[in-house]
Amino acid sequence: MKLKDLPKKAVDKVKNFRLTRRVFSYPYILFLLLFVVTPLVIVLVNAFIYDGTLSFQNFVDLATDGSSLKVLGTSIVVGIVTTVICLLLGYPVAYILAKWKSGSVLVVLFILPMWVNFLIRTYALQTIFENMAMTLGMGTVIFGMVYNFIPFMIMPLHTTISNIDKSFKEAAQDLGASPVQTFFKSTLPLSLPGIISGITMVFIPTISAFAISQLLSNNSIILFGDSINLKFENKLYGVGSVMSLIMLALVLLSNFFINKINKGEAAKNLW
Amino acid sequence: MKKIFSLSLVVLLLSAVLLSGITGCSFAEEPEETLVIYNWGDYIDEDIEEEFEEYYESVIGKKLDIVYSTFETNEIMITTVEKGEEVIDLICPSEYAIQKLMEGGYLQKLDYSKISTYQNVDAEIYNKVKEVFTHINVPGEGEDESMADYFVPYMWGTLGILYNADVVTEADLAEGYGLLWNSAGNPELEGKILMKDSIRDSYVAAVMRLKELDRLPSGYETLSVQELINTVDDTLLQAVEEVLAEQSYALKGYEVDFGKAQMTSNRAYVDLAWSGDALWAMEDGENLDYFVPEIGGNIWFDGWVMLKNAQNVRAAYMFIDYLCRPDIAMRNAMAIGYTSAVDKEALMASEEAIAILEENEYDVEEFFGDERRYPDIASATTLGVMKDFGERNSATIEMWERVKSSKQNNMWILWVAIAVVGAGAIGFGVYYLVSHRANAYRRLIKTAEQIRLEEEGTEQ
Repeated sequence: MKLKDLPKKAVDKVKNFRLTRRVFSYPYILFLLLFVVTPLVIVLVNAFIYDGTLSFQNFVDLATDGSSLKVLGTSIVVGIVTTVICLLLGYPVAYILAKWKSGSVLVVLFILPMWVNFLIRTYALQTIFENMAMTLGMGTVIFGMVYNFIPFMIMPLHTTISNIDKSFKEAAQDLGASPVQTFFKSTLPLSLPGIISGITMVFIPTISAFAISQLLSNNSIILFGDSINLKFENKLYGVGSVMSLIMLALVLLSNFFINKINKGEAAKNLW
Repeated sequence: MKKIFSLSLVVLLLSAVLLSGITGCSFAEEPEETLVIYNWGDYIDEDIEEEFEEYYESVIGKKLDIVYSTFETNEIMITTVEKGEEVIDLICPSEYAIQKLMEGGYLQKLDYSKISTYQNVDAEIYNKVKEVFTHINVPGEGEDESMADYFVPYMWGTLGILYNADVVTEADLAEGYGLLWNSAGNPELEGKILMKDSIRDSYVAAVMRLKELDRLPSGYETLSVQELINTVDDTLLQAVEEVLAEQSYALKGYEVDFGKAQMTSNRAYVDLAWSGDALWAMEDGENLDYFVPEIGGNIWFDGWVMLKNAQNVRAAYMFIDYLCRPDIAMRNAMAIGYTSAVDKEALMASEEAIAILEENEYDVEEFFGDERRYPDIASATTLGVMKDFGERNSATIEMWERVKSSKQNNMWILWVAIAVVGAGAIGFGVYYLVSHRANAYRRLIKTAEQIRLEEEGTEQ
C-alpha cells in the first residue's frame, strides 16, 4: 500500500512545485551549511580530538603553554588600540562628512580603497615603510590595522549620524544648550548604535587578522590569527581548533554585549 | 604568499573531505596511460615533462599523459597524501618528510634494478642516509627499515648564511653563526639580518650558535653535529629558546619567501638560506656570497619516492631513470639552481651535460670546484642530516612561538602611547575646528536675526 503510494507522492510533489519565495533561499541555505556550519562542526570536533581519541588534552595544552595566551593578550591589546584610534579618527570624519553637503561624495573616496584587495594595500604599505627606512614593528602593524579597518568604522558612523533627525539638535539649541552640550547630550548618544557597530566591525577582525601583522613586521610580531595559522600549518589541528573556538567565543561574547547595550539598534544601522 | 592562504586552504580541504563523501571519488579512466607527479613548485625544467612523454611513447609505444601538480611545503604534501583521495605515483619530498611518509606506511620499496641510471647518483648521499635514516618503523614492512631502500635522491644542498660582502667584514665572518646574531657588533648590520621563518632551520642555527659559544648544556658538548641537531629534549630546547630570544633583537624579521628579493635589493645584508637559493641570489645580486660556518651545519636532500597506491609503476620507474641521466640532471640543475644528486663525476663524464653547462656560460672547473655548490660531505663530520621532530613537534612549535613573541612585551607600550596621544590630539583638533566653525556660523545667524528684529522694530 505505502510502497504503491510512493511514486504518486513524488509526482504530486513535482506537480505541486511552485516557485515560492522559500525556494530562492535554498541555494543560500545550502551554501551556509557547506561553508559555514560544516567547517564549524569540523573545528568543534577537532578541538576534542587528541591522538585520535576524545579528550580535553588540547585545552590543557593551550592553558599550560602560555605563549599562545600571551599572544592572545597582545592581540586583544592591539585590537583595543586599533579600535580606539579608528574611533577617534573616524568619528570626526564621519561627523564632518554627515554635516557637509558634499559628504556623500567624500564617503565614496574613503571607501574607494576597500575595492583594492587588502593584501595589495598592505604590500604597498610595506614597500612605503621600507623606502622610508622605517623599522617594521608594532607601530607599523597598528598603522596597517587602522588603515585597513577604518572604513568599517566610518561607514556605520556616517550612516547613523546622517540619519539623526535635525530637530533633536535644533531642540537642544532652542533650549539653550551650548554647541558642546548639544553634541554630548544629543548627537553623541544618538549616534551610539553607529559607534557600537563600528567597534565590532573593527575589533573582531583586528584580533583575527594575520596577514597584516606578518607583512608589516617581517613576521616578527605574532598575533592570535598568526598563531592559529602556525598551528594549522604544522598539523597541530587540535590546539588550532581550540584557539579558533576561543575566537568564536570572543565574537559571540561581543555580539552578546552589543545586543545588551544596543537592544538591536546596531544591526539596523549597520549599513 | 603561501602562508597567508594555507589556513583557509586547510578549512577548504577539510570541507572537501566531507564533500567527497557525498559525491564519491571519481578518477576518470583514460584510454592512454597517465603518470601523476607531485613535486615542489619551480623544481624541474618544465620542458622535460613533454620530452619524457615522447621518450615514453617511443620506448613503450603507448601515449603517456603526465599529470603534474606542485606543493609549497612538506606539510601540505603530507596532508594531501594522508587524505589518500588522489592517485599519486611519484612525490619529491625532503628527507624528514620521507621519514614521515615511511612511518605512515604510504611508500613502497623501490626495485633499484629497474633504474639503470641509478649508479649515477652520488654514493655519499646514500652513505649519509644510511647513517641517519635507519631503524625506521614502517607498518607492514618491519621496524628496521632504511630510507635508502625507498628513495632516489634528486637535489641536495646545505643550510648556510647568504651575506652581502660589501657590508659584512672579515671580523663578522669570523663569528660564524654569530653573524646572524651580529655578535661582532657591526653597526651597519643592525636591523638588516633575516632569519628563516622555519623552526627546523632556525633550530640548526641556534644549536650551532650554542656550540660556538660553548653554551651547550653540560653533557651535550661531546655530541657530534649530527646528534646535536637531532636532539630535541627539554634541556636543549630551553637553551635554544634562550639563544634565539637574544637574537630577536638583532633581526629585521623572519622571512618566508622574500629573503632573496631583500638580499638582492640591499634591503637586508644577512640571510639564513639554503645553498640553492643562495647560489641563485648570487647570480642576481652583486657582491653576495654564501658560506657554511666551519663549526658545522645542516645538509639536506630531496628525493623521489613512490606511493603504495601508484597506478603506473612502470612509467614511474622510467621517469626516475630518466631524471638520473646526466644530461637531464644537468638541465634540471640549470633550471632551478640547486645541486643535482647525480654524482659530479658522472656529470663531468657526460659530454651532453658539459655542453649544457657551457651553454649556460659556466666554467666547468669552477662549477664543479665550487665548495658552496659541492661541499665535501665525504670527509666532513660537521655536516649533519636532520630527522623529523616526531613527537617533539608540538613542543618545538610552542618554543618557536615563544621566541617570536618574546620581543612583543615592552616595545608596544611606547608605540601605543604615542599613537593614542597622537590620535586623540588629531581628534580633538578636528572637533574644535568643527565647533569653532559652528560657533562662527551661529554668531552670523544671531547677528542676522538681530538685524532682522531691529528692522522689524523700526518698521513698527
